[in-house]
Amino acid sequence: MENNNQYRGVWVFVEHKGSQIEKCSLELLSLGRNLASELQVDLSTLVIGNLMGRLSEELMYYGVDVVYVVENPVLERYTTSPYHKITCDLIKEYRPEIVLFSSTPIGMDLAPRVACELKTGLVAHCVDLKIDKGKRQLLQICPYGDYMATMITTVKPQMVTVQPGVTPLPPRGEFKQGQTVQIEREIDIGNIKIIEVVKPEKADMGKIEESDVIIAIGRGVKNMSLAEKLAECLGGILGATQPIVDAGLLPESRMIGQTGKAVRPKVYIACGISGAGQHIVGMKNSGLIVAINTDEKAPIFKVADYGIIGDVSKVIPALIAALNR
Amino acid sequence: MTQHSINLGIMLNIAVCIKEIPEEIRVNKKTYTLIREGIKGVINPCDKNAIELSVTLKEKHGGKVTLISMGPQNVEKTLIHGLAMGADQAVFICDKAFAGADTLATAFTLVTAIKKLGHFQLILCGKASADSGTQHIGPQIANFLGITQVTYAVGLAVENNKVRVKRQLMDEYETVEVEFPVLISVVKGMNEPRIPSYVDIYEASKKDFFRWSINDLGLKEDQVGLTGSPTKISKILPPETIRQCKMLQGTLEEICNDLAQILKT
Repeated sequence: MENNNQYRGVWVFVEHKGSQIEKCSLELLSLGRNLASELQVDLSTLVIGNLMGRLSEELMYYGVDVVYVVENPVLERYTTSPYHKITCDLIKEYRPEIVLFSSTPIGMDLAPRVACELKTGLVAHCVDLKIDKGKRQLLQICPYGDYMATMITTVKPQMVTVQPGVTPLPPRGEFKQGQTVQIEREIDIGNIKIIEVVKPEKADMGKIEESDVIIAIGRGVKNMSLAEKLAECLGGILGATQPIVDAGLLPESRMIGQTGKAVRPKVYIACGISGAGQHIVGMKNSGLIVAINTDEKAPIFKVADYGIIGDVSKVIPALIAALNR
Repeated sequence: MTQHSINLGIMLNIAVCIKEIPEEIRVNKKTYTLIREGIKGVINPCDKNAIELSVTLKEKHGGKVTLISMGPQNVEKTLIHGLAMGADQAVFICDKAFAGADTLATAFTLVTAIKKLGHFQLILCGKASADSGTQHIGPQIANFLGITQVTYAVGLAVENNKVRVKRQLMDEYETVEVEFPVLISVVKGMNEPRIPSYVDIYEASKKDFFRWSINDLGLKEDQVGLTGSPTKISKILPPETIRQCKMLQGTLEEICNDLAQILKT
């Protein structure tokens, strides 16, 4: 058994695109800064890529103490094998007690494999992180069915993926601080070869997180076209819970919640959604929340500003009529 | 598995890891576990896509499909469904000792079963389970086996002993080429899972079905289940009331007029 006390410091795995730091990684810096301050340790970032000079400098405006950089032309685009090897090697070498990743396609490809290699745990889709100072333990808060669970990892490092969109962005400081450490590594790119990367023509992917109005539908909605009409009427876009997406009624890009997107529109209308914990984490930061449900005890009402107890198939047409009046 | 000549095709030996999930997700407030009693179990949706993919590949290239599932109770129906879709044999891993396993302990247990079964060129699983949704199992199985992983697959073709996989990422599609052996996790909607007929289901009940306990896998209790899991639940809390909800009262028309006013401002 490793001595857990040898592990110190908080690390953030930074994702980037076209020399820009991804928003989700900035969110991790804001969480990471708090954790590092409470533990009185350094906040470090790991940046892997090609020509990361400007980006690593930019990180120093966000309260980072050390920026570890691994650069190589073959690392231009993420692939599992070399990123995994580098991340594991550096964690073994520098022994941070906490490592944060984002719940993104890259984070979710990399973090579980790193955790497995290091024989440690990984808590997925966290929405908040706290420190139990007495035990020097990371409290990992994530949705668990209808509930919120606080998880702990008994082995070091303690690793999590954090749901993008639930943490406010950190302020950009006026001055740079901290230092950059360039790390040289022999890179083995493994047996995976990228053949092509294409952007879909349809602008349907994404975008739900940019809409001001979201009409979200759950299992209580029997008639999709009604919800569509309401969305049209309010200039909004349709979102959905997991069961609706699983049933193939809306694409995965419209899924809101723990395994989908976290959104903060100005208006969120939850139609026929009971409000499982994993859905609520994706929408509770919305501006105005309206819930329509037949069950007055549905947990969705606990996060709503206004509630209507009723069948969506009756309420929506009446609401559209009222809006057009 | 012996390598056949190119003329005979590739003969893929495929393992598919599947999970049965409760149709409704409810938490037992005392034990912190998901309530299974009285709640119908269903195949995790994207696991059906993984089974469909395996059967399609077998039909095209020849080979054998083995289903593997670990579960707290009898998931026979879920595995039979997979066999009826065209898989050849099923392994059900079940033992009290596996209860409370986190993803690392689960992946470790599944890998032990995979190794016991022999060598697979292709291991498939769904992207995530609809109940816990961690997405961990695929990459962790791949790491335990020391093989390449490709996550978020929406398309796949086998050519010249290589696999070409189209991946669905945040706002783009990436196509990669990998060599066997490889683990691939598939996204729901990558294909249309076939619906087996009653005859298929009847025939499926005659296929090989193995039940393996901790002893069959040659594992020790401290390697699996809750004791073999580095993550633990410390506490659970009901969802917090974060807003004071005003219930709109009156006739449907009054309610909707009120709401329309609120939305317009």
